[in-house]
Amino acid sequence: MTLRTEDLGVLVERSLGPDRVQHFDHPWLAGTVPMVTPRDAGEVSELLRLCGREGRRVLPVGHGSKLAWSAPPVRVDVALSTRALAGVVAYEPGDGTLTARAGTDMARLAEVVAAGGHRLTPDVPRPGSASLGGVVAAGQSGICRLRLGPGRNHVLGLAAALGDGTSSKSGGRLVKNVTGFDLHRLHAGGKGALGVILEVSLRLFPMPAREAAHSVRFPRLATALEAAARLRAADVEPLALVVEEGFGPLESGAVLHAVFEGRVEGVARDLARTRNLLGPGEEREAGDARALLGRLRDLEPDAHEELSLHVTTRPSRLERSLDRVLEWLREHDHPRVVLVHPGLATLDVPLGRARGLDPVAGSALRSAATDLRVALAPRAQVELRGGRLALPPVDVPPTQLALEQRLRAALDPDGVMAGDLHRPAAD
Amino acid sequence: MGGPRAAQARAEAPAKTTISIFDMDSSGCSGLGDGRAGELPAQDAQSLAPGSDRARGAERGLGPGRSWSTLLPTPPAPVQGPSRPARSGTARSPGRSTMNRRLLRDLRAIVGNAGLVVGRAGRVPYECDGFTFVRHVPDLVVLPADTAQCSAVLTRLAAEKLAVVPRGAGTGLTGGATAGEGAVVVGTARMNRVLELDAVDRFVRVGTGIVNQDVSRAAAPHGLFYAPDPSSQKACTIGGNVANDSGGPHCFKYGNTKRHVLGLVIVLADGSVLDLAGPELDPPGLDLVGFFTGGEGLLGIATEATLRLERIPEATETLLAIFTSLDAACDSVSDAIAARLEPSALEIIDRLTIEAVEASVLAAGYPQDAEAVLLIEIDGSEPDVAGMSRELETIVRARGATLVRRARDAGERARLWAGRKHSFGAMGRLAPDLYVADVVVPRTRLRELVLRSTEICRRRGLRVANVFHAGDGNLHPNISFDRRDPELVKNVLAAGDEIMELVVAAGGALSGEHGIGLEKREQMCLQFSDDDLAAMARARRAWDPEQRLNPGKALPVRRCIEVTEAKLGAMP
Repeated sequence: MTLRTEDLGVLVERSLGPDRVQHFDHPWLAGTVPMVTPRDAGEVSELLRLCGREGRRVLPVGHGSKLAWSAPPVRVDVALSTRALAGVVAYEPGDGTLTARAGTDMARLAEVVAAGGHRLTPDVPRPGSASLGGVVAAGQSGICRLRLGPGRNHVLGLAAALGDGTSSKSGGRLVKNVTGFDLHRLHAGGKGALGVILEVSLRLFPMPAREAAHSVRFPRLATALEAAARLRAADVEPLALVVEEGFGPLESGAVLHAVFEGRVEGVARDLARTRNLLGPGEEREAGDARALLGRLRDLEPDAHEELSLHVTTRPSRLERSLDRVLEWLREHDHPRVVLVHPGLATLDVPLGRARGLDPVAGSALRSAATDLRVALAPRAQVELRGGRLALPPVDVPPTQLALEQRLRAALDPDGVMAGDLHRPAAD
Repeated sequence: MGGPRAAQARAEAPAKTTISIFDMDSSGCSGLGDGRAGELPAQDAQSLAPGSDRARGAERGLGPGRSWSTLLPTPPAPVQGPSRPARSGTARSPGRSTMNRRLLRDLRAIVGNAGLVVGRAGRVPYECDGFTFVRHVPDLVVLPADTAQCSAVLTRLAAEKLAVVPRGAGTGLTGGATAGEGAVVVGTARMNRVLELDAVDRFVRVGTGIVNQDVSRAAAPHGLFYAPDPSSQKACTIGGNVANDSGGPHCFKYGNTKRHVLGLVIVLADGSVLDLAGPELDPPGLDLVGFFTGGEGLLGIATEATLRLERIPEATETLLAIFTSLDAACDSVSDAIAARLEPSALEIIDRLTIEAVEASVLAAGYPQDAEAVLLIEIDGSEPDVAGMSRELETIVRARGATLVRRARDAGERARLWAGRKHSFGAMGRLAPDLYVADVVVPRTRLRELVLRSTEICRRRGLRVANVFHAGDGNLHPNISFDRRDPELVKNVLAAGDEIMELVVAAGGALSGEHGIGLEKREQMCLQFSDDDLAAMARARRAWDPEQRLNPGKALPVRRCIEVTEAKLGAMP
């Protein structure tokens, strides 16, 4: 990493004014880099142009909570914090849309739209420490994905500063719109590799009339998954369907949670059908159900603090993939703690604290996760999150790689953006 | 007034008459030679058959020297936007040489006789899509049967640096599938099979030439369906839906095509194959599938699509609310949105449309004394449908609905929808031609903007009928006219320009589901800045560095300042 803080400080102060350079210290970077916090879109563009001229690499950062989902970039010279680019631009309750600046916390946005009778999606873990721009750049979808779809589908439009500092807007604030190329689909999940997200418009969903949940404990994880498959095949529409094992107190077995929300009559019918299919269980209503949904949402490991495996497959392949993951946990003496979203066919497996990890142990874990990935390919994708251990994606077709490189070169011609999409890890 | 397109029409020189080299070749080099499109799949042949609506539209064309034909690019392909020009290999016209015989021979070797449409009579049906202002008979039409053939065809065409225009069934409404001089049409119509259907994981993989409605037909035995349902769903193909991010009445609840595409196999302009077939949730890398969908054929040709299937709802209810004013119908929709009610469709049909539908063979039983009807569909669980239906009835009655009819059975529901879905065709009774506008407005300003767009047409003495996706704020002011009257054509186009200016100024958008194509490419400057458009053009060149795919569509070919100056110059 190149650390020329003083030089950079002089240049930044010349461009943006005095006292504009702080320090960004994040375990993912294994060091400190200078950080600039632009106050508006003009300053973002100015900083990007400056870095382009000076050959510096810029890393956009919100709260930094999802940086460790990816391998660290080869080089970061400057962190660009979006935290000062905060605030609601427009909330249109009658139209069900919200436009906000990228640095705004998701918790704050959820509060704003709740007052107008809307729920914010994606509903992501720890929303108080997740910025809108970070959530969109990371491609996060949150706990309601099963019913409401992936987060990128809710992005109606977006304004960004591209790598060369030019401004770029696509989409808009309307719930239906096919005008122009949807560059926002490239920024959503693009990990900041194409530019800095400045402002995002989201589609909102109505706040439900009733929230309820039905939770059943099963003696075995496999039995809980069979029950989830029965429920999925039946005519019920849960907002979230989650199986957890090993997170709570030391009780045996796995718990299947079906969380429902919507109209009063529909939720009552879905609950009744769920009871019939799964048998009796613990039922929660209103605030209790909401609290459960929040707890389940926040079970997703925090990559800032924790190492974890994230596995994605198809529902029909879930059981086989899970068996292999459990075998892997046994082989490597990891505790059996598993979070499964059966309808989405994703697994999250916490693997211990990220901070202070012994480098030898880290290397061994990385190697073991690579073996698991090979064993599960092509049936499932395996990611290792947390620390500096993230695995580079595999089996990306050369045509895709070449196209992504051309897109990056087109939108960030000077190679200013530090984020990498497919590069092997630095260490 | 009049906007850039009207100015363009006034300034226009007669269109060039072009003799296709392929006409000449076909007489001497093939066993096909008779110009038949004989190997076209049944549905495409049907939609293009002489006497069909589309073929009639084509026959009535503007003729040489009449406006709009200059919208079509002539080689070399135009440079997009204000950004730097393509460095190499812009598209060019085929020359008269033995090269063309070799090209035809090579293409025939790839796709067989069944995949080549060489003779003029066979190519005429490809001269336009549903936007019949602009017509040009392409020099050659190639219909590959699978991804490998499509790849080989594009590789061969890349060697000749020929422009390529992708085409599905040609039901688009913005000229997106119309080929300019020297361009080769590559159609997906023969890639029309279901390749895989997984009822457990709820997806289907299809060739992109499959007709939209056939996807739901294949999924129905599994209790599943494909949600996007454009009005043309009996003819339009999934490939065209992907290119335009098509919508439909039920996209109010389910969303446009983009939300339902899980994966694609795409052949790029150089013939390379980009395999993003899915259906995994979050494949590594950029969301290329999401970006491609809605790319209007400028980025590649999708040959396979993996589509999300929905479970057929337990209950469906269709209501017809009858109003004595269009304003009241609009207000009731705004009230429903504000009340956070989300039925699956909210469609408004105005008096003129009702008259046309009821006078047609597809009379739906809409009351002819109504100023507007609101067609509402609710689907989901039985209790949800029953509850929401009651609430919506209360809302429409509070806004003055004189009657609310519930479809009693599937037959009545189908009739009500047939009226809506065939309303564009029924307007053929009002005048020989129809201009279908497609704009989106903020749903909080529905009544005001429907009224103002209608006033624009009336002020110009034009007959406008409104039938639109009210729940999404997606307006379709439909202007009836006769294309044989050039002044009327100019007036229609100028009205379209005014409507677009109105809605964009009010925070709306140029298109909700039809795309930009040729029709609105210069109006893009109303909604986006030069920088925004340059970024889109840069991304487009990453996909197609030579800009040979569908040149001249979707993005303005001039800088916005030039568009504005042309418009100011045209003002009286």
